[in-house]
Amino acid sequence: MSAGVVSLGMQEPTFLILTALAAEPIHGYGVIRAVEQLSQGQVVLRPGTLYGALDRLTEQGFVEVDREEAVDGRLRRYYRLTDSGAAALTAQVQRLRRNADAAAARLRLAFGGAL
Amino acid sequence: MNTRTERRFRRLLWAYPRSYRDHRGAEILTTLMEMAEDGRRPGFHLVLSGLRQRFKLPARRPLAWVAAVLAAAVLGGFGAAAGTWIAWRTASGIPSDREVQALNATLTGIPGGAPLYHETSAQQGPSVAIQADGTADWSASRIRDGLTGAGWRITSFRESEGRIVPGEDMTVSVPVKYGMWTATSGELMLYGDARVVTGSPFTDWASYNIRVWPVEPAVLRPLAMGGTVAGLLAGWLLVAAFARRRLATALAAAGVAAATLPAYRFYREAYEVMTSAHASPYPPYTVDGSHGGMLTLICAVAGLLAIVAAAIVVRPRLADRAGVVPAGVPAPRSQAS
Repeated sequence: MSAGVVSLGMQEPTFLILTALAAEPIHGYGVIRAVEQLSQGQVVLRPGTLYGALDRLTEQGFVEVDREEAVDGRLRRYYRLTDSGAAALTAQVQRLRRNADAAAARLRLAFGGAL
Repeated sequence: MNTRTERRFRRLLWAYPRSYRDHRGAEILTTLMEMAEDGRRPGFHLVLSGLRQRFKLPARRPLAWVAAVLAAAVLGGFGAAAGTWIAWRTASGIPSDREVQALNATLTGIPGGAPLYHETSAQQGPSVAIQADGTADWSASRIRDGLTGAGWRITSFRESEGRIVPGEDMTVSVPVKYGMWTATSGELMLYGDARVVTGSPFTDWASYNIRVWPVEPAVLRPLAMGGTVAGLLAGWLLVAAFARRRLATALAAAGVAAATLPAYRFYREAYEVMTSAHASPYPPYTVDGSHGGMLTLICAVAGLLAIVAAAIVVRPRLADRAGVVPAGVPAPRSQAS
């Protein structure tokens, strides 16, 4: 699993968890699968990491419980992005896009190519 | 997925603190079971995550952090003392008072019970000393034979002569014989010395000193160090377990604060344990004993009571354990499918 830092203050798994929750509320294993899909298999969350991140994001007010379901006698808890979480993710996306654009521009200057 | 797998996952979740399991356990278990259905198995990482959770303190709670550091420091001292105490339980026992009296009578030739002194060495090991003053001649062979007969192996034996001033009249001195010997028996060490006047008017006035102590056990320093580390961890974990309630945190902080004095004393003793070359009672242990054992006991008991009170405050309530919603998380909208 990559633990690369996306930018100061938000690590890649955190960014991907928020991204996974951006579209719709998802339960624990759903988040793990969504993150894996979004990262094209580069980031595979382990349960301990996922729930540690959910604890932290809940404390920060970025994520909250949406609902609980009982499936085959098991508890599924769905999480959703809060407005604050959406704002943080938006800011992060803009930062990443700005940085990516800047990097691509420099690469074009130095090496040309299709970036 | 069978119940055996579920039981295994439940056991893995024991790594997490109970309060955490109360509000996240069922949910994590669901995730683990769903992962297992896809052929994914949780590994040791889950246990590490659980253990890490046990050390976690709530954010923005400076008192909890102060209490955790203090508790770690205090219990580290108690852990060092406990480790040292356990280590000494593995050492050879010192001879009984009766055996020491018998040995003393054999070596010195002074009949009757001489005063015994049970003392603690700098390394916190036991020792027994006997001081015999009386009338007896000097006999190196009697001492040698007595030691050998009692199963001791003599490792050194020295004799010398000198003169002492026995009274207030500084112009009068009498000849004196000095003796000093050391011996071992199994894991026991013996030191003895003698001063015997050999000239009138105090001929055969003798003073003997014999001391026996065990060799320090090999596990002494490792257990003292291990006890310190265990105490440090236990202190932090204790406060982490109480930290979800402010009153419990405050009580725990007061408890460990009360036990600071004995902890300080234990750290000083642990320092002696680690730095002393051996368990010999020489040189004498010189740590300030002005705050004696009674004060240490009172402080320790007061601290313990405060921590017990904290445990009562933080004990899970039936109503809490029945619920699954953590504090600070909005009530979910439940629906069954």
